[in-house]
Amino acid sequence: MLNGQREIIAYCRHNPDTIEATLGDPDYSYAFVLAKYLPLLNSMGTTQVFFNTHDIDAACRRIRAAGREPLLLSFTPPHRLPVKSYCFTIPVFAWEFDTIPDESWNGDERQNWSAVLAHYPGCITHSRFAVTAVRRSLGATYPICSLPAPVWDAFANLSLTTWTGKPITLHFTGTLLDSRRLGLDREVDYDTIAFEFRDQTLTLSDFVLTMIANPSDGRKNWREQLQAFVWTFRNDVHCTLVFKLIHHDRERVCNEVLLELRRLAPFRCRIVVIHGYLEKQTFEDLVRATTFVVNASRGEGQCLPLMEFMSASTPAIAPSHTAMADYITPDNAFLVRTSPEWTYWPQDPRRRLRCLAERLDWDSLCDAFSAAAQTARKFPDRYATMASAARKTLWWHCSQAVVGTALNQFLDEVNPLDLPAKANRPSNWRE
Amino acid sequence: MRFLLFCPITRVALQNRLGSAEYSYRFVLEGFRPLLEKIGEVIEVENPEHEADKLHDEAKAAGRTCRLICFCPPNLAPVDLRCPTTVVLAWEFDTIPTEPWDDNPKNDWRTVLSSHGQAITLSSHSRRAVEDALGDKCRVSVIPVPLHKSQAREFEPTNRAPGDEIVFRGHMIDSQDLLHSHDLCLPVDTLPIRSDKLSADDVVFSFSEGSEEGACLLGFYDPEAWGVWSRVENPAIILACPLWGTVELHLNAVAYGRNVGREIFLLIDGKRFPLSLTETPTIYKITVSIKSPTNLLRIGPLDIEPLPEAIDNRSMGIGLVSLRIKRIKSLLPRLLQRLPLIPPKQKLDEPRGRLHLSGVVFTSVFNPRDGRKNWDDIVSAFCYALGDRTDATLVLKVTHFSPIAYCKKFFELMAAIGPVRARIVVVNAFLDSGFYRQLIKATNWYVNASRGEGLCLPLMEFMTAGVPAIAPKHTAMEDYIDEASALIVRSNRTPTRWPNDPIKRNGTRWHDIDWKSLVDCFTEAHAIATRDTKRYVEMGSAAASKVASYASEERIQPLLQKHFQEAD
Repeated sequence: MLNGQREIIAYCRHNPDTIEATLGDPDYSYAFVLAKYLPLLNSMGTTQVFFNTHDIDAACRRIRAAGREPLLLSFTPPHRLPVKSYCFTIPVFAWEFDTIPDESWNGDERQNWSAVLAHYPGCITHSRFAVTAVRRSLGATYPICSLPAPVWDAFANLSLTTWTGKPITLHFTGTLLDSRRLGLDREVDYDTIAFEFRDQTLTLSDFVLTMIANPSDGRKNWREQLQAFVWTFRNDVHCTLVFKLIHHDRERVCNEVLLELRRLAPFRCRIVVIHGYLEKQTFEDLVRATTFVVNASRGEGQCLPLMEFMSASTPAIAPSHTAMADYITPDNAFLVRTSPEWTYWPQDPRRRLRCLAERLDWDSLCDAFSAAAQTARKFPDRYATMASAARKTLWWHCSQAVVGTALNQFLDEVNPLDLPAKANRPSNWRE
Repeated sequence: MRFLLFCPITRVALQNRLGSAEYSYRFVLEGFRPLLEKIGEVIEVENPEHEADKLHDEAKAAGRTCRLICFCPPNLAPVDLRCPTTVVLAWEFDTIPTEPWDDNPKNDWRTVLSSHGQAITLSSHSRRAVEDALGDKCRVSVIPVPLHKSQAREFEPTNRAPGDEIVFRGHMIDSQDLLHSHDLCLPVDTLPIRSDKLSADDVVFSFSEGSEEGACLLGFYDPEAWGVWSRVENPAIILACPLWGTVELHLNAVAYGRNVGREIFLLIDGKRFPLSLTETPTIYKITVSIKSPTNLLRIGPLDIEPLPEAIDNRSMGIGLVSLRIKRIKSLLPRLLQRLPLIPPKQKLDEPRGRLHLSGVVFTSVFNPRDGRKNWDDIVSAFCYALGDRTDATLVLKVTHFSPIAYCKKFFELMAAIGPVRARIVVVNAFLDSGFYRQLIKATNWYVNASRGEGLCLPLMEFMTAGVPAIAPKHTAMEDYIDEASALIVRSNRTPTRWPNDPIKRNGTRWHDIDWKSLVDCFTEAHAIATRDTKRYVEMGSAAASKVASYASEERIQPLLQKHFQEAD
């Protein structure tokens, strides 16, 4: 098939336009990934997007009636694939553990990803690490392709004006917690603090670290990041950490973060917590104000915010494991040390120890923070080299050009004629 | 010279509350006592504020010096006495508390330590923490607990004879006596648990947050303020007291999702009682006649598939609020009526455990409620490294008055790990020096994976007897762990709070263990013990001589005398 001729149906359980209500819940990030893929999919042919399974087969029939063969890209974890659809289906999913579930529980056969994926002609994930995990279970020849969300193009042009340390003012509507205005050192009745949702102005300058995470995602180690920031820069008034929260429950997550800030007080460095949607311009301003983007996760399926900031020439402070191993290098980041620990697949209620995750070396995160501050302040040339290395590495990793070519090639390789055999899914799969 | 010794944990309290907070100061006091008795007269005081000055004045009048030695955190030591006072401090954090919490100036340890002007710490690490806060306002001597010479002579590394049967007074859980189902791991037999608190005829177990002492919940999520949600299909409750005879169970429970109105069963003593729960918490009464004493209750089968539209996608089936147990006194003969809810105590009070060890034996000794000890890492790393080997045994010698304290963690860990061919035994032996000596003799490696140590007396006791170690080289262990005598576990610092900080600030640091490095140490230790006898013997001798030279009475006695002379 040639470019521009595909009939694509994209399915995701969450609608990116109404995601605010469920933001931060399991699987919400699939909606973001789909949104990032859409421009590329649109450039490859006609793309219809559905957020429930009912309409998929009708769309499929209409396309076939017009003499075309539809392709369903299902942005769902394998146990949530729409089983009743008889479209040619390619699962698209994120994974950050070294093994995939190869057993079922609770009588639900679909929890066995290994068995489920064997019924599909191939699948797409977002890292070489996940490809290895799937092939460990399904064999070295199983058709699976690592395609990160193509986010580079939308951010690369920002890099014409990279971080300078000069003040940049952000305007947004939402909640803003600023450690300098919270009176953390005083006896304040925090129960009465209202997390006001209103127009906010935030001026950032000097050395700024940014982390974007869902605080109820246990993988993110956000507390450890705040702690490392305060322990490293406690009395340095020129250092700021921006923590952008992703979660629909403002009250809950703001309270959680506030509690942690209180436990870290007293400190003179600055922590600002943002909850609310940032318009494109504001987000770009945040990128420009950021010296380094920070990640200290136990594992990542790809980590969109990290990829976006780096595409815009923001070097990183991050570990080079799981998906990040594909793009975090000593040239574009200060590496954080981690080591493996035994853990369970997050969706397994039995919590059987079946895979490895990465345990953070907190000392090394502090060391990376110090080294980053020193580089930004004293070695501007080295900083500029890291910034441009970030942009370059991420082009190879997640530009539309690179991802589009690989996606087309992969779709050409997986044979639609496999459909009848592969579509014969076990009848005991629950919808 | 007269020594007044004070420890907030008295000998009697130690027997009853083994494993409670600050209990280890008691072992420190007892460790120092024989040496202090050699140097002078020793009197233990329970209330130093009232007793110390009188005993001091008396000694002074007789022309002798007198010193109060407090084996406790500084905030519990008296200040402003006429009797000179020395705190013996065990501390595993890299800073000391410097805030007067709860308006008590003594909670700022600087107040106490600068008033005394000197102190003894058990490690160089603690001395640094004190000196960082006080500079020259407090003179600190590092003096570890002296170890007796006889221990070092008795066990040479080559004399070890694993395979002997060790008899002890206490309880034991053996991984070979566990039943693994698809979602839980349970003991084959009724656990021999006793609890004095629960000998009444009417007992209520609450399942809300903070009331975990009474029952061990398996297959549930973490308790919340109202109670606890189930996690697995057939969750279980192990009560802190076995049930027998005719009892009335009042179960306050609620169903979630598809479990509302569904028929589920309560299983006890092989009998099934149908239940149908509503979506609001309700009390369900069940009368049971139990023939053989049991403390195991199971509930199920639950539908645990998350509701498709629910934001909370946990596998909740039912929620438990509380369980009340009433003994029925009805048609039973008068004699039986007088029996308590709990079966006769002597059956459980004098348990005899028999432990037969073989293969390479790894031992760790700890208080399971002590969060520093990180024993889940020890169990999981052992199973990951050696779980397939039949010639590897991990002995967890725990000291706690209530087995409920470690049952939950142990059974949930073993369920998570699944069946293994290697063996794990949890031994809760009451204070029993004979058993302890035999255990040291049967042990090939001592394992420590702590977040921080004030000293770690068991590790030193095993090492001095020629047992090499697997341990991190941090906090107090810096002073005596080296490559010659131990396989060193990697670790890194991480923030935490002082245990006594009411505000729970992240004001200090302890250590995280590198789990993979612990796995590698287990693998290497097993290989050394089975295939490299020469290196094993060398490490054992190095361990014995290292600790002997560090904590022998010959070394400690002059250190103590010097410290007191300079203080007087």
